[in-house]
Amino acid sequence: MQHSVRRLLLTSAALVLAIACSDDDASDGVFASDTNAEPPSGDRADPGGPGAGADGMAPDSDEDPDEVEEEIAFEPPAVGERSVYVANPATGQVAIVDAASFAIDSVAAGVSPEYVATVPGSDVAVVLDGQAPFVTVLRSAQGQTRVSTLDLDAVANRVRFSPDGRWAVAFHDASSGDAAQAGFHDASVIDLETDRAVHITTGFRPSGAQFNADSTRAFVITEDGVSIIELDALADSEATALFAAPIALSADPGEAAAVDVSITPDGRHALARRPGDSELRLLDLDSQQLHTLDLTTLQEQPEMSPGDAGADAGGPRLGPADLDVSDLDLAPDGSFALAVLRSHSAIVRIPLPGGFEDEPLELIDMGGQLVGSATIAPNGKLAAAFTTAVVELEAMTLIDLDDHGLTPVRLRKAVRAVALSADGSRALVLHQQREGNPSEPGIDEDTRIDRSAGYSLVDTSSAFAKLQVTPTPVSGQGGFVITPDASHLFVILRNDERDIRQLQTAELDTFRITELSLSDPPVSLGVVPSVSRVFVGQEAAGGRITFVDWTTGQTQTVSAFELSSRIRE
Amino acid sequence: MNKLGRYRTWGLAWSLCAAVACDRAEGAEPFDPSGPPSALEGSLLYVDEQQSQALLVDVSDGHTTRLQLQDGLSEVLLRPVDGESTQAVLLSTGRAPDEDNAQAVDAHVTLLDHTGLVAEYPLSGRATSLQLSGDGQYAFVHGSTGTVSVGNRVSIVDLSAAPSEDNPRALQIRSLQNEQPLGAVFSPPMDIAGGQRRLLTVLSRNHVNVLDLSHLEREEITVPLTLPGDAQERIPQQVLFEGRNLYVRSSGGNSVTVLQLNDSEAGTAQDFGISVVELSTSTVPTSITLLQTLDGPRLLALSGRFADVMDPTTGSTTSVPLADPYQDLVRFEGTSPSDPETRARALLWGDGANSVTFVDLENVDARLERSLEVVQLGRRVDQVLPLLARGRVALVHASDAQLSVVELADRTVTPVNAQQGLNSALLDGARERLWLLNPGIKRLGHLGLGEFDTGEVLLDANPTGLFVVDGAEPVIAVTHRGEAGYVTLLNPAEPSRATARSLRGFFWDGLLDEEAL
Repeated sequence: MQHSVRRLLLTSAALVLAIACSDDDASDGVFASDTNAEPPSGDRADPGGPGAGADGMAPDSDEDPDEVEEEIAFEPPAVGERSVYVANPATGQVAIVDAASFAIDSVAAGVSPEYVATVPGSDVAVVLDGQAPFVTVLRSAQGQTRVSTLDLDAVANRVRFSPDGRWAVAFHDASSGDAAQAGFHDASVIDLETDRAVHITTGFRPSGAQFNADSTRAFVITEDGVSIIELDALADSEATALFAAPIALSADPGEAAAVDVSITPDGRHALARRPGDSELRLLDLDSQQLHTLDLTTLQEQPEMSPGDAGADAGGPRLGPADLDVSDLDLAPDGSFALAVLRSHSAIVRIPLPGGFEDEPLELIDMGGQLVGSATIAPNGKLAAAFTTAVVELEAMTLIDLDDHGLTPVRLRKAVRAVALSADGSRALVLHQQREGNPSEPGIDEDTRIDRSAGYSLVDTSSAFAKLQVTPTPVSGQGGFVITPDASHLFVILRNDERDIRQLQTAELDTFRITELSLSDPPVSLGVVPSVSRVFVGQEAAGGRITFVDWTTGQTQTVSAFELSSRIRE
Repeated sequence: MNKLGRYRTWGLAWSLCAAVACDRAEGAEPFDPSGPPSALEGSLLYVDEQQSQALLVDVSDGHTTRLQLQDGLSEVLLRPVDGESTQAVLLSTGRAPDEDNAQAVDAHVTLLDHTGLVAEYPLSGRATSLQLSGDGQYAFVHGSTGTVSVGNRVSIVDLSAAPSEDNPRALQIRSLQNEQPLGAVFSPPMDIAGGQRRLLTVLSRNHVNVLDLSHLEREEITVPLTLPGDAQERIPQQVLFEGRNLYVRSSGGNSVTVLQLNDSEAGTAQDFGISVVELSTSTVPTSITLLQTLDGPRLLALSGRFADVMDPTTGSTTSVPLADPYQDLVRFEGTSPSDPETRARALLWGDGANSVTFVDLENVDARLERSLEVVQLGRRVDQVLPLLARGRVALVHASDAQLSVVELADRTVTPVNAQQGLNSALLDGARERLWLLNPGIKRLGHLGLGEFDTGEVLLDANPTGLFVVDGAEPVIAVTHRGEAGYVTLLNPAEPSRATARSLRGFFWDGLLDEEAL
C-alpha cells in the first residue's frame, strides 16, 4: 500500500536542538574547510559546526559530489569458540589453529578451499571451494577435526549462518568475484544438524542472505527481490531442491535494483531504497505486500512550511530542493530506520513498520550541515552522521537516538567511514587521504596530515577525537576489529609496495596506540573471545598467524601450518 | 731442564711401576695411545683404542692406572661434575663375534675420574657415536651397527645415576623417511605441564624428534623440517632453548624453525604439544644466538654477510649487512667508546674473516645497524679466546703467527707476535695466562693477560700438545712425541725451565712391571 499522506512530528528534543541552532549562527560554527583555520570551540550544542560545507552547508546543487558509502562494521569476523580456520587453496588444505594451545591440525578440504566461515561461537566451519561446487564442513573438538563434504549445485563464495547455528545459506555473490561454475540463481541451504544441502533457485544474482531471529526463515536478497526459505518446513521435508520465488521490492520490473536492502530481525519486513529515488520500500514478507514511503511528501506538509509551528520554534523544515535519500540504515532491533536526506541536511527517523502507515516520522534537523551517511550503533542508542563527499569537511555529528541531541565532533581529516562500538561509547573514523605526497618537503603540518591516511578514535561521551596517521589506509573490510569488551581496537596495515606490515593496538580507555611489526603482509584479523586473543592472519608460504592476548599484550606466532599439521604425536 | 731432572723423572716413573696395580690381562701389549690425552683432575687420561684400554697418569707423581675397558673403545668426552671436577665418558662400541671371541660384545659407556672407574653402563647392541648434554648429566648414544642392526635405535644414559634396569634406556626413534639419528641436544629444565622438565631433541635428516626425559616411556613428538616434495633437504645443525621454544637451525633453508611447546589435548601421548613457526633469514644461517632484550626475546642469526634479528613472537625479521661473513660471536657486558653505560654487547667474528664487528645487543630492533662498528684486522681470524674477566678478547691469527688482543671497552687492538708461527693457543682462564706453542720449535710462549707480560720456556723436545691440568697443584702439561710416553709439566704460576719436570715412560709402566715379574 502506498502512503500519500505524511505527517511529520518534530520531537521536543529536536526542537530544543533547533533552538540552539538558531542561537548560534551556523556559519560561525563551521569547521573550517581551510585546515589552517581556527576551529570552533567544540560546543556540544553547536550542530552547525561540524558539517558545513564546501562552505560547510548542505549542498543545493545537483552537481554536488556523490556520497560514497563504505560499509564497515565493528563486528569481528566469525571465528570459532577457540579455533581459527585458515584455508590454503594451493594445497587444498585447511589449517585449524587452536587459539588456546596454538596446536595446529590440517585437513584436506576440497580442490581449492577459498572461503571459510565459522559458525559463531562454535568450532564448526564451513569451507567453500573456489573451483568445485561443494562445501566442506569441519567440526573440531579436543584437537581432532571431523570432515564432511556436501555437494552443491553451483560454486559459492559466501555463506551466512542462522542465529541458532543450525542453518547456513551459501551463495555466489557476483559482486565479489567471478566463477565460471557459478550460477545466477543459485543458493544452497545447509542443515548443519543433518549435514544436508538443499539447492534453492532464487532471484537473479543473489547478493546477501539473512535469517530471522528465531532461525525459522532464511532470506536471500537478489536483484529480483527477496527469496524466502521456510526452514522448519525444510527440516521436515526430504527435498533436495526448492524454488523460492523472489518477492519484488518494486512494482515496476524495469526499475533499478534496490540498494540498502535490510531484513528486520523478526523476519517480517525488508527495507530498501533505490539510488536517486526518494521513495523508500518496505516489503511485508508474510503478506508479500509492498509499502512505499515517498519522502518528497515531507515537503508538502503544512507543518513543515515556513510559518508553521515548527518554524515558529526555529524548527527544521524541508526546503524546495530535490530530495536526495543518500543513505538508509535499519536499527539493529529493526524498530526504526534512519533515512539521510543529504539535500536537506536532515535525517528522518522512520518507525517500523508504522512509519509506512500512520505513525509519525521524526525529523532530525542537522542544522544545515552536510550529512550524507549515518551509522547506527549496535545498541541502537547512538548514530553518527557524516559526509564523505567533501574532503574539506573534517567533522561528524553524533546523534542521541533517544532525544535526538546532536554532538559535533571535530576531526582533523575528512571522513571515509564510521563505525560505532557495540555500546556506542567509542567510534572509529576512517579518514580520506588527499592527493599528494605527505613527505613532500616544504608542506605544512596540516597538508601533511591531509595527504596521509589515518583514522580517529572518538570518545562519544566527550566528543574527543584522537587522530592516528597511518602509513597506508585502513581497510574497511576486515582491516580492524574491536574486542567484545570494547577495551581494545586492533588495526592491520598493509602496503606491499612500501613493505608495510603492521598491527596497531589502541587501548580504548586510554587511547594509547602501539605498533607491532609483522613479518608478512596481514590479510585477516579476528577475535577469539574465549581466550581473549586477537589473531592476525598473514600472507606467508605455509601460513602464519600472530595471536595477541589483549589482556596481557603477549604475542604468539604460529606458522608453517602444513609442517605443524604433519607433526606426529 | 737439566739431565739430572730428566733422570729424576724417568726414575720416578720407573720406580712407581712396582707400586702400580696394573689391571691388565696377561701378555698385554705396550700401551699405544690413539691420540692426545684428556685432562682430568690432577691426571692425564690416554686411551688405546686398539686394546680398548685407558691410562690415567697422575701428574703429581707419575702414578699410572691402566684399565681394560670393553671392546671397541672409540670416543672420550669430558663431563663437568658439580662444577668442580671433571669425569671422562668413554664409549666402547662393542665387538662382533669372531674366531677368537665367539660372543658378540655390546657397546658400553664407561665413566672414569682421576681415581679410576666410576661406573660402566652396558648398552643394548653396538653403537658408534656418543654425545653429552651440556651439563654432562646425560649421554646420548647412537649409530647402531652390527651384522644386523636397527638404524634408529638410540640409548640414553643418565650419568648421574647408577646403572640399572632403566639406565641406560634404549629407544627406537621414529623415522619418517628411513633416516637415522644424526645427533641430539639436551635442553635445560623447561616449564612443561606445570613442572620443570628436560627435553631431548634427536636430530635427523629433515626432521627432529622431541622426547621428555622425565617420561621416556611416552612416545616422542616428531616434527618434520620439510614437506614432501621439497627439493632441499634440511640437516639440523643447532638447537637452542628459551622459555617454551626450541630453535632449530638447519642446513639447506633460509629460515630458523621454532618449535613452540603448547598444552596438549587429552588423548595424546605427551602432556604437551608442539607447533611450528618459521623465522626467515637472509641466507642459510650459520649460527643462531638468543638475546634477551627490553623488547623481549630475540634470535640473532648470522647468515653469510647478514645479521638477522628475529622476533619469535611475531616472526618479524630485521636484517643488516655485515662487513664480513661471520659465524660466531662473543657476548659481553661492557661499555663502548661512545656509551659509558654497561650494556649487553657482542663481538662478531668468523673463521677466515679479516675483521671483527662490535654490535649492541640491547634495542636490537631499532639500533642494530647503527650500533655496528667494524674493526679491520688485516689478518684472518682462526680462533677466538674470550678473556672477559679482563674485558679482552684474544684473536688468533695462526697463519700470521700473531695474536690480536682486543680491548672490548676501548675497541683498541694490541698486536702480539709469535715467532715461527702459531699453531695452538691455550687459555688458562684461572690464571689469566695464554699459552702458545708451535710444534716446530722447542719453546713454549706465554702471555700474561693482565699486564701483557711475556715469557718463554725452553723445552727438551718439540711439543705436540698443551693441556691445563687442574687439581691441588695445577700444571701445564706439554706433550711430546715418544713411544713410551713423554710429558713436560710446568707450574702455571711461575713457568720456567728450572721448575719444570717431566714424566716419561708411563706408557710402558705395566709392560715393564709385568716383564719384571
